[in-house]
Order: sequence, then structure tokens, then C-alpha cells
Amino acid sequence: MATAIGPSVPAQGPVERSTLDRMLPYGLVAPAVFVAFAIAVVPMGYVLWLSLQDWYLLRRPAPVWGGLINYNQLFHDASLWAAFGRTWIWTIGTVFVELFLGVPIALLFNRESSVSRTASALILLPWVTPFVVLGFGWRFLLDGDVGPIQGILRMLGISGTGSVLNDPVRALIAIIIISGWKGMPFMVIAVLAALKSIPKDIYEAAEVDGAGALRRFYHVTLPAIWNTLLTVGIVLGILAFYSFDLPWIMTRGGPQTATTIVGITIYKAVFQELRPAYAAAISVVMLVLLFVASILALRLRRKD
Amino acid sequence: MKLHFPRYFASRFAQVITCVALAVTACANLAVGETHIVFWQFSTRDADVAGWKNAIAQFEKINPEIKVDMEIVPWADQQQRLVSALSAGGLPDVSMLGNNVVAQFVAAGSLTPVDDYFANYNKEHGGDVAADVWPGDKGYYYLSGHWWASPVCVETRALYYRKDLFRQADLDPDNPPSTWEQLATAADKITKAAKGAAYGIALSTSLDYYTVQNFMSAYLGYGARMIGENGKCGFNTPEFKAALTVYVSMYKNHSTHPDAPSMNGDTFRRGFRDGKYAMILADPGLYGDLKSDNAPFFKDIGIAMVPAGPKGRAGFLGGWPLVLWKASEHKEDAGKWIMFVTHSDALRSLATAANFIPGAVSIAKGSPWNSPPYALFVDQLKDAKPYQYPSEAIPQMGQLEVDTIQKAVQAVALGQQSVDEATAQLCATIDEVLAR
Repeated sequence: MATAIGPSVPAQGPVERSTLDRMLPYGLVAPAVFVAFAIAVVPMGYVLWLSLQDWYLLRRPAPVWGGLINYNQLFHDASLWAAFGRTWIWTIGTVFVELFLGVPIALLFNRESSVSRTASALILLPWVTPFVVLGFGWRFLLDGDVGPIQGILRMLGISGTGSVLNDPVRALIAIIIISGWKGMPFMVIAVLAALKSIPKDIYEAAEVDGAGALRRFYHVTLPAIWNTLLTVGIVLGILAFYSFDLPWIMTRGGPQTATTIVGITIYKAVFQELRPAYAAAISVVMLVLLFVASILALRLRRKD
Repeated sequence: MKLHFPRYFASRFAQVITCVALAVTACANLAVGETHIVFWQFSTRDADVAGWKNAIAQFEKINPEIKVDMEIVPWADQQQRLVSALSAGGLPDVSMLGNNVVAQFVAAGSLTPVDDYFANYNKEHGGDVAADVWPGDKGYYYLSGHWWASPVCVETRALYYRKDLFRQADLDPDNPPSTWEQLATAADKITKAAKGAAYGIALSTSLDYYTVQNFMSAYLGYGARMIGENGKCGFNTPEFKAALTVYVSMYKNHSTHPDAPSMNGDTFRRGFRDGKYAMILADPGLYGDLKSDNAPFFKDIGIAMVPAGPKGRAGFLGGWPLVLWKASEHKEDAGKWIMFVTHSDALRSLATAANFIPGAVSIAKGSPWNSPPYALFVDQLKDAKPYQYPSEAIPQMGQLEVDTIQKAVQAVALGQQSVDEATAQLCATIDEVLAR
């Protein structure tokens, strides 16, 4: 027996160590996977389950299985699809404003100077200021009676006696610009980081080849920051798509429904109409649309 | 087995001490037999919070076995908190509630009737607490043959006006507008006479609650009703259209702020306190605010009843009661708290501290509510009516007041729809919501 057991003892050591080694990475990532599962997958599963329930709190205190009843209502809800349309305009407009303001400012800050260093800290202000403060601040600036920006708009003939927030088209444009202005610092920081990583000798080589400032931007800078622009654009676009705070504080979704985006529709479905299951169905559709749009957008990434 | 006695005993000793401490703590609670009532209170004003704390202290003094844990949930967040708790759990035992949404939570099956507590209170103290509720409030709290709430506060709006600006516009300061037409005419004259220094009236046409709270006095005064005899929208009538026309005319002829279609009630109120408007429909609390502001025009402030329509006067009927949630595990004790604080001396003290008109008629007819400025408001309460008057409260009111009535007012004010179009659209939406 002793001889039979003897050789197997040293053989078990490496096997045990190797199993431990194999299991260790799983053990290390397990807590993170568990947390990710708990905070992302479980709520998503709950929303999906909820969207398949029939639950109008005024008629039914507890949810019962409703199958596709909410999706059926949703596909016939014209005001919801109008809100989806507005949300795309809002999202694309917000990202456009962020790019339009963010890229030139990042290019400016890329020049080494004390002014750019100071300004790059100040530029973060809109990003870190809470929506409530910004919302009320902008409401004052656009006040039809005493708002300074409203006064300028009136002088330029862009607005009448009342605030631009009273006009359906101008109200949407105004809050898109404000939303883009708030998100712009994130774009500036990301683009600035990408700009810093471009080797200077490429610019020197382009200059030697006779490329002017515009051609250097188009052929050197833009390709180098393209993936950053795309990735940050998608992230900011997703944030914009899920917005609620700014349009709610500024206009409550009005005038009429002019600034009612999907976030506001979901809020109203839950807290005003007491239809949580219907709101869940809207969220699922929102998620699917955004997922498809993000996949399509990521295809625009440069491979080289 | 070798034991390390000092370490062994130290460890055991610590375990025993911990167990004893836990047991003593648990027994202490059990011995006293305390019940904790979770109470959601919606006001964040210091005076209100102090008033509630005082009421809780009085209650706990005479009921030492019951502790009331007050949690402040701001008015702006209360609907979200309640609906979230309703669907995910976590409702309190007792809470305040807007009078217009009591029916909503009754329909959701989440409230407990308080009839038994009313009956017990009557037996113990004599009198009839149900008869002491304001007539208008009964429409909100007495549903399907049961009482679902016990009123704490009741509110109505009267017309504050500035006599100095009336004189400037050659209007009689002792003869304020008593009809909606007179109000519109006076607002126009004052605006013109003020030449940009002030607007005639602070009148909202936005999606803010302040719009429906003002406009309801107009449409009820003109004889319009929200729900017709057939249970469907009753607004598609000449009376409603006349009310909508006269109300919106004050925006259209520039008698109010140009941003009225996007402004909220707080901004208008602040503006009146700053001297920007000659008239505003507001609650009694504004009088105290103007006094504490030391407003230069304070001595020129007059208060009159809300303007009437061709079919009479209808004041806004605000207010909030306490309700008992079905999820409560301490209903008897929670009921005791509700009855204590909504009646007798406790309510009188609370209403005096927090500066509101009590929901019990007998208390509101005593001091200080029988003298200015309250007396006029108390007098007007007999004409205060719910939005859906004369129908019984409907569960969908929370949605209808915001998303239908106010939208119609805003659409006409901004010229996006005519009165006829807005009314037709309004009724289509109301019927759709009612049929849901």
C-alpha cells in the first residue's frame, strides 16, 4: 500500500496548484461579474418581464400576464412615435452641437499657453453644473422680460416679445443648443487627449510637403481623432437619448408637446398615468433602437 | 486538547456580553412595546416642520407606546415616491396627500377607509367629525360610501390687488373686479397705464398646475363641467368656450407676462411680491409673505373674492388630508395619530404655527381665522369646489388637470389652436383617458 500511495503523493501537488491557478482568475473577476449582473442584467430582465404584464394601477393594483398588450398599444400610439422622432432630432442635434463647439475649442487648447491651461479647467463648468442650476439659469437668460440672451435674440429678429421657449420650433432648438453646450466639455477633454497623442513629426512632414493648415487638419488631425470623435459621440449620443432633466426643467415637454422626448413620455407614463408596464415596454423599444443605432455607428470606425 | 484558558475565556466572555447586550436591547423594545408609525410629511418650510414636530411630541406624550417617525418628502417628489413605493414596496403607514389624488390611490386599492376611526372618535369625544369637513372637500374624500382621508388643511385663492396701481389707471380701488370680464378689462387698463412698469395680472397659461388652479374658477363660474351626465367629457359647450376665451384674452392683450405660456406659479408669485403685477389669485399665505418682505406697496394691498362668472362664483379648492395606507401593519395606532392631529387642539396649534386654514370647519370659524386676511378666504370656502364639480372625484384627475386642461389653455394662448379646436382636442383626450 505504501508503495502504491507513495508515487501518487508528489503527483497531486502540481495538479492541485494548476487547478487553483486556473480557478484564481475566475475567482478574482467573480465579484465584478456578480455586481455587473446585479446592477445591469437583473434590472433589464425585470423591465422585460414588466413590459409583458398588464398593469394600469388605476384598474389593476397588481400586475398580471398581458403578453404583448403593451407593445400592441405602443405601436398604435402616434404621440409616442412623434416623441421618438423628436428624441432622434434632440440626440443628433445635441451631438452635432457638442462636435461643433468641442472640436475647435480642443484645437485651441492644444496650443501650449497659460491661457489654454486655465481655460481648460474652466471649460468643465457646464459639465459639472447640475441640470437644475443650469435649467433655471437658462430660463432667466431666456426670460421674455429681463433675459439678456432673449434681448439679443429679439434685437436680431429671431424672437418676438415672448421667450423663445414659447415657440415650439425655437424652444426645441434652444434646449438642443443648451444640451450640446452642457455636454461639450466632455468632448473637448476627449479630443484634447487624442490630439496630444498625435506625433508632431507628422505635422512637420505634412508642412514640408506643402500642406496648409486646413489640409493638415483634414489629412492628419481628423483621421487621428476620428475614432475618438466617434466613440465619444456615441457615448454622448446615448446620454442625450436618455435625457429627461433638461427639457423637463426648462419646458416640461412643452409648449404643447414640442419638447416632449421619450424620457419625458416614460416619466409621464409611470408617474402621471400610473402605467408602469407600458413605460417598461417603451424602455425596451428604446433600448433596442439605441442598440441598433450604436452598432451602425460603430461600423464607421476606422480600422487602420 | 490543550486550551489557552485566558484567551478561551476572554473570547467566550466577549460572546456572552454581545449576546446579552443584543438581548437587552431587543427586550427593551419589547418591554416598552413601542410601535413606530412612519409618517410622510410633504412640506419643507421651517414653520410647518416645527409645527409637525410639536404635534408629534404632544401625541407621543399622551401615547407613550406609539412613536411617530416623520420623514420629509418634498411636495415636488411625493408623487414619484408614492408611485414607486406603490409598485415596489416601502409605503409609509400614514402620509399627507394632495386632495385631488386621493381618488387615484383609492382606485389603486392602496388606501384604507377611515370610517371606523371617525366613528370611534365621535364615540369618544362626541360630535360628528364627518359633518365638520368642508362641503367641497367631501367631494374629494368621501368616495363610494366611505371616508378615505381626514383633512388637515384647506385652501382657496382670492384676488390680491394693488390699490395704488388701480388709482393710477383711474380705477376705483374700493371696487375691485367681481367678474372675469371686469378682471380682464381692469388688467388691460392697468397694463396700459403702467407703461411697462407692471402688468395688470399674474396669470399663467402654461403647463404648470397654477394654470388649472386659476382657470377652474373661470370655467366653473361660467357653468362648464368637466364630466357630463353621460360620464364623458362635458367641456364641449358654449360655457366652457366662453370661459376659455375670456381667460386667454388676458394673455392675448398683453395684460400679463409675455412668457405666461411657459412660466410657473412660483415665478408669478415672486413677481407679485417684487411689484411686477397689479393683481394675482393667491392663497392667504401671500399676505404674510408681503408683510415679511416689507413690500413698499403693502399698505395698498386689497383682497377680494375670486371673480364670478355668469353662473356664480367658484373658488379653487386646494388642501391636503392625512391618509392611512393599506400596507400599514399598525393601522390602529396609525389611525389614532391621524385622528389626533386632524382634530381639536392639535390641529388648531398646527394650523396656527404653519399658517394655513384648518380642514375642520369648527376650528376654521374660530380665531385667528375669523379676522383679516383669513376671514375672506374662510368665507369664500363655501364657494370653493373641486375641478370636476358637480361630479364625484375621478381617479384620472392627476393626469387630466395637467395634460389636457392646461394644454388646451396653452394652445389657445400661443395661437396654435382656436378655442373650438382646443376644446375638441381636450374632450377627445379626456374621453380617451377615461376609457383607458
